[in-house]
Amino acid sequence: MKQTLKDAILLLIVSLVLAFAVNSISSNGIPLEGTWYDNRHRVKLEVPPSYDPETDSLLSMQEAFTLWNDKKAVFLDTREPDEFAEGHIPGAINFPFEQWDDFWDKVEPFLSYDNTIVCYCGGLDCELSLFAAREFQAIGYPKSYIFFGGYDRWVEYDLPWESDYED
Amino acid sequence: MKINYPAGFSGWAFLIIRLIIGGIFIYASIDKIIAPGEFAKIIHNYRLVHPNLINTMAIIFPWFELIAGIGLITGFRYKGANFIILCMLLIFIIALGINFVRGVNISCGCFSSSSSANSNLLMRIIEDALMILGCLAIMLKPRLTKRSSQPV
Repeated sequence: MKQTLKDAILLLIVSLVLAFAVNSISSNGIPLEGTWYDNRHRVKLEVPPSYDPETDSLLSMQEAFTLWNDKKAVFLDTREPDEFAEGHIPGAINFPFEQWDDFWDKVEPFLSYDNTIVCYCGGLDCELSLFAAREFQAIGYPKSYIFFGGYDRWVEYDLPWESDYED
Repeated sequence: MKINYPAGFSGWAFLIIRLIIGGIFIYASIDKIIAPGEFAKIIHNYRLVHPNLINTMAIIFPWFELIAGIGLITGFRYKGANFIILCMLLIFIIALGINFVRGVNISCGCFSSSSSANSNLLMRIIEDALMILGCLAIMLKPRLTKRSSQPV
């Protein structure tokens, strides 16, 4: 065990030297201290954990509701089909982010490149809407937005919802 | 150059475990070494690390993975490499487990530095647990092989 620890320390030292050396000369190198906010005790976030203010476009509840009410956006529900069937924003189309390839053919006819697309999922624990909106922007839908409050927040505000089940 | 081939089935089995785990760690490190800034975002997403430590961890962790992976594959100080990998896997599984219990959907950053790469946390925890078993087997190899070779 003593030899194992000695070997481990040697390898760690080599790794540290290489890590700091490469970081100092790499064009992708980062400073030792970044500008992060302390999120250790914030499990319920008001913004997605990996939210990037420079590239991600978040919608507030009011903005999402206005777009929905004026029918000026396609709402995509990125949750799984069974969650969608239980309840969703009226008029929303189910597009489970994790089954992108399976659902793409069904969803694509509803989209055009100048459409406003609003992606949402379950609420503050879920980032699927964020990932979906990023993906849409990457493939050429510039007006893709994230409604991070999602279905949970929508229902909390007592806004209309619909279910695929009769009961 | 003389090549020492492993002796018997157990020798080959341990070699294969080393190659698999070492290979996974080398593969996992590349993306993060290329883009430490992206990996830092993932560490931040775990919501477990003090802000002042995030960048430093993003710089050094991928190199721990790479050097330990190389050590495990080549056999250079491989017991030490195996020990480092075991410790890292324990850290990963605790971090993943905490976020799984919290019910937070995060990108684990296991094989990619993209914070938009979605991953199934439970699957990653199972994968980590399997690799921990592999590392423990390598660590306990002398005892395991000694016991199995004892006359009944």
